[in-house]
Amino acid sequence: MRRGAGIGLLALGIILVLAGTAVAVAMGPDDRLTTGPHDVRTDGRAVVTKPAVLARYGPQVSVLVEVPDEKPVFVGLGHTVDVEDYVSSTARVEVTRYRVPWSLERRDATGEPQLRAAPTALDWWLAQSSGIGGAQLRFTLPDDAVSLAVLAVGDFDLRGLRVTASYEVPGAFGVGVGTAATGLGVVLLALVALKWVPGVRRTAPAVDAVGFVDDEWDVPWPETDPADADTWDDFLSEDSTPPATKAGSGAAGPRAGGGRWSRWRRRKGGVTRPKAAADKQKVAR
Amino acid sequence: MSARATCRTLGAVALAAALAGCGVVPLEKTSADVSKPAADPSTVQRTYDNYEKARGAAFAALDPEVLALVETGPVLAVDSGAIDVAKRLHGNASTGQESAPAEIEDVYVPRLDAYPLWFVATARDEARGVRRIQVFERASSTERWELTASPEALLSTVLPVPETTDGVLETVAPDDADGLVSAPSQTLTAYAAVLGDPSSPRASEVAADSFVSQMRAQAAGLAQPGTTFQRTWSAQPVQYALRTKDGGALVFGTLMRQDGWVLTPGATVRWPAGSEQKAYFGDPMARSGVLRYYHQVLMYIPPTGGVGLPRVLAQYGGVIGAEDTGPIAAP
Repeated sequence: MRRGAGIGLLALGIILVLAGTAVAVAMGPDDRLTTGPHDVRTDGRAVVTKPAVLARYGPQVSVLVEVPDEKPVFVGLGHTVDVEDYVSSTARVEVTRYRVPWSLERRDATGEPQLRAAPTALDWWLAQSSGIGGAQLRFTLPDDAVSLAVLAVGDFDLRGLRVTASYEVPGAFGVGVGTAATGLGVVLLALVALKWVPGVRRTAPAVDAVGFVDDEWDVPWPETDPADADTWDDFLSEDSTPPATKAGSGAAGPRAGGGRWSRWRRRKGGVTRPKAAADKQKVAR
Repeated sequence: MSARATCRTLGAVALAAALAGCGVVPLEKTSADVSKPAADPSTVQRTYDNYEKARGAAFAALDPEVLALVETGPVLAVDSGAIDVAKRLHGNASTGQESAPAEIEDVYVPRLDAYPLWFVATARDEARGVRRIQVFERASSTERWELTASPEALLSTVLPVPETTDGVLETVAPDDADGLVSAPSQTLTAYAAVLGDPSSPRASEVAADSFVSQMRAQAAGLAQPGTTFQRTWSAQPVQYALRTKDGGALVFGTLMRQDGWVLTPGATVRWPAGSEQKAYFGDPMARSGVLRYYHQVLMYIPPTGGVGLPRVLAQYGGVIGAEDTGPIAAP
């Protein structure tokens, strides 16, 4: 039972160490898992994702889009119904599938070269950002059908578009380190349980050892040993027994009535008698 | 180590691992449905406030261009027609009156997977003693929210309660007769036929309600001596229909009415002051002409096995324009 639990703990600890380390290393101190920059080949004005691309929710995502020659660019997240209606008449690149770290499936849709309206004039973006030469958008993926749109502004296009995507988990690095630390603790606990750590291995109390130690914390009180059937009266009645007679009977073990006297006599500092019962309880506590 | 202590330790470790995993792993979305609620509450309120403000300003200044910022389709045509009539009767420098704003009572928002987006709001207009049942529409992602239908019912009229599921309005497709005595499009067409001809073979499909009676009585009064009066009705395609809690449907429909007068040679007609006939045909009217009207109606279609026939519960209409047909017979 103990061995089984120990091995289980050891396995769990190793898993935690590996997982925590992996998270901490992958996310880094900035709590980001980044891919890119990647080139997205297009000479049009719109690149949009289909809803299947952003099929998960929860994490915070950061998208950095860059275009050369100081061209203005817009990046926005909107509900798929809105985004698809907006770009429906415009020639565009549709990203139909995305796999980590960076594998895109795309489809070129035909249409007018221009957008129907300036993206910055629309009120339904869930998140948006624009800039000259680049724009960065940070958002939390909602539990709804959403599409990401990278759009040219004005008379410019998206030629030379580069995209960097980051998956952000605030505190992930700390969580990773914490998990790894927890795993280490579990591993240590498992090693102790399995007695694979010699330094902390527990040994049976050597009650009959010749070199009886003085430290009362390390060796249980003989009187508290439940196996000891002797009573206090037995102890008192042994007072008159000559010590020399009992000294050689160590092999008889604790149940040999005279063995206890010899132990008390050998204690350092001249302690030859057990303290009163109340004192012993206090110490034991 | 005892079994109990081992279990405690394992539990603590599992809890630590679970907490460590929170927020790290992205979750699969709960639904692949791409639809969205047509509007959120803030959008509804903002849209309605803008509408009330613009409509008040437009009627106060008799400026249809302001109205065009917040209305579209038949309702814009009707309101612009009313402003046009007022200007024709009272001059271009005339001003209207500030209308008292109505208050939203209920809002019903469907989930839609494509534009146009729309929602329904009922608003109580205490000053006029009516309840407006209004449809606001956003035709595309690049356009504003605009009022597109606004039939009105008396405050005493009991309207069927629209059906909602998890707060989302249940809609009915225009040609969907499932659970209804007839499909919305079919019903509206039958209603237009009955309005135009009391002896129509489709008269058994819809009720001869108060709107039918009112229109027939009005038509009788417009047949002036020395003229040949002809009225026709036609139904516009149904765009909005919603399910009611009793399994029926409420249908927003638009009917076009054309009133044509062909004057006999030498005849003239005098119209009452303030009438649209006087505004468009002059006083006296000496040439043949046609007036066109839109009537937006809210029809109730009972469920299969329900009580009664499809009937109109609310309407809003008015003249939208005129045509001088001269000596040519009106349609």
